[in-house]
Amino acid sequence: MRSMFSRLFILGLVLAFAFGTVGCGGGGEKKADTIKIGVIAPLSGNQASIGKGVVDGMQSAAKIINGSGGLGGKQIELIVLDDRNLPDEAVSAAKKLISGEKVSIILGSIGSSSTAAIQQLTMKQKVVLVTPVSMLPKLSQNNDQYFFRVTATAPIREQSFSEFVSKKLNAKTIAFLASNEDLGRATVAAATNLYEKSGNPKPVYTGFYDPGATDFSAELNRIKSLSPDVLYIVANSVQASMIVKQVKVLQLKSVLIGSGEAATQEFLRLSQGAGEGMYIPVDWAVSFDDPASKKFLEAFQKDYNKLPETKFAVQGWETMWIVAEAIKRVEGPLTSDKLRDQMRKTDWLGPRGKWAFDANGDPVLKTYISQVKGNDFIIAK
Amino acid sequence: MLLFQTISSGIVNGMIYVLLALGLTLTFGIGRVINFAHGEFYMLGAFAAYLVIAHLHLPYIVALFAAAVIIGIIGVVTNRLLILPVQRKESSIWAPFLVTLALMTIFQSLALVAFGPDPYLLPSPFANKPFNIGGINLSQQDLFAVFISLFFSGMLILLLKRTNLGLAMRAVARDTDAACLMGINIQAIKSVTFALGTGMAAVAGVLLIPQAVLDPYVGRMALLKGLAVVILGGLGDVYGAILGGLLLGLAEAFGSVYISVAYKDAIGYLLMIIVLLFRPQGIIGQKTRQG
Repeated sequence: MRSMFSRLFILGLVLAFAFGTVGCGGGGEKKADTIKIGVIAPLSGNQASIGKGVVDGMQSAAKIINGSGGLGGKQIELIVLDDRNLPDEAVSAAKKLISGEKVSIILGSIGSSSTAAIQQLTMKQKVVLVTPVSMLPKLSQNNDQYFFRVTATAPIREQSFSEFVSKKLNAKTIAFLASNEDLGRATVAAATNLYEKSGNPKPVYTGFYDPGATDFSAELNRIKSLSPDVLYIVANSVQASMIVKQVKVLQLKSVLIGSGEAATQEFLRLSQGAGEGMYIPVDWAVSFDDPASKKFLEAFQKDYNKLPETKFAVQGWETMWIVAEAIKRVEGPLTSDKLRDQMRKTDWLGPRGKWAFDANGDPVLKTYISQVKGNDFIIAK
Repeated sequence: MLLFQTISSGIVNGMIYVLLALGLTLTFGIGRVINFAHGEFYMLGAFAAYLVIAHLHLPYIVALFAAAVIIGIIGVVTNRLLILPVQRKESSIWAPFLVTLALMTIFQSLALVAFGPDPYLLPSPFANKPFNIGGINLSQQDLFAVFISLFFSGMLILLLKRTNLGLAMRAVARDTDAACLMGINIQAIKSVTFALGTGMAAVAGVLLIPQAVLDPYVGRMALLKGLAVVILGGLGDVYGAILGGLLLGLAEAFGSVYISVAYKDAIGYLLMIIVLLFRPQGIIGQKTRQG
């Protein structure tokens, strides 16, 4: 026992020493010719599949940019930290990046609650914050001049989704089952607002479940007794997978629709076919064949030897490119203010279309509707 | 119809809570430990079953019993090495409590290192297969879980009431010193208790996880539900745990169907506080009995 512990201890010391020296030596040398970009994303926990997808996309883009000479002769250095989709972890990661690494830009995070927590810090410290995924509308309504998002907000997404639900699905009644988190509440609020205005479909039930819940029988029993035409599941991949399986067991006949967070391979794997036919809004799919999408897919496949598992990889890729283009335009030393001004002038064509930001840092983005078919998300149009 | 559906869902969940609480109440009543690592034995049980199914290619039902045995053994070893040594007369009553609290974190971290943070599916031939009876929809897994839970509760009661071992266990629960003077091997009885308690936690995990997902953090919910039931039923009270489990399952089902889902977890704890205020000995416990 003792000898094992002492061996582990020595191993620990050696590792610490090795990493310590590499860190110092490397950092000292690199400082002059790299541009540090902080990245915060969940690489473990219940949003890990999205986080990994986004970071993979970013690294693919950074590799191409660095391969063609970097930005004004400087290489991009991504410093990626895991927040486990927990706001307090996200804040400590942001502190590390801002005061430790002295970054002037942070890309992140994924969960809206985490991004909102980071924003409290970046806003005060005047650090540019670009979120690749977070859809909470509040984020761009804080009068934060340094905030940008490379995704549609929940209400904008709901606008196109609601048209699909009322016109194409011809739904008369709808029930909501949503995670009791910032984004879940914002999504339901936006959708309910739209449906109440148009009167079609009529919201008949709204249930907010605990973000850690695993049993949804009570909620689903209630929904079944109301037999709505459509059940809107606002959930991450893991919880959405449990819900659709329990929907199957209860033999609930409503058409299933889901929020964008469930458009992942993880959802397909965990739901074991129970999500078949479910509609989920997306802004990109692997089947897109415009030149920008092709360029992305080629680079991604070259780096990872597979197709991207989530459409979130493209969001990481685009975020990285948009930021790199802005940094390229900055003259003289990189500061947050100069970077922000250049981000505002964004005019770049990516796989998801033409990118430009409004005064709040929000883009204009087209939404498509995908449907779960077998092991894929097929654009339903 | 909704009423009957709600009652059945409540009973199904309740029976799982019973299984969770029986192990917890046993280790408290006889082992004198509030086992805060109970949820971790539940989680490790599900992982053990996963390994048995995925790597030994054995059927789910075999994995269920294998997990109970494996975790029971881990439970006994843990008890012998870490809990019994700090339970000496002169040490603080807090010592075993702190040890199990530490074990909770340690087991979680070990599982995180061994299995990673990504969710696993625990395959079961009954999971997610509908079972309809008179318009009530349950899954076959629900039914199987109720059956197994009834089986284990029944066996436990038989063991306690009808066997010499059970008599010895009850004697230790009532008065450890007197039992010791009667020649009962206290340490052995406590080990058996720990094996039973942790084994039952493992069974609960193997029954419940196929309808959810498995990751190193699933134990938290199990511990909280188990504790709520044990307090409802009275610490150390086996019949109380059964009644408390069913009560919690039904209260949650009715509360979230007829009041609001948002209060689902709150309802259980509200019940717990009410019981603590008005019947601190548990819903069926007698006032004179000392925990």
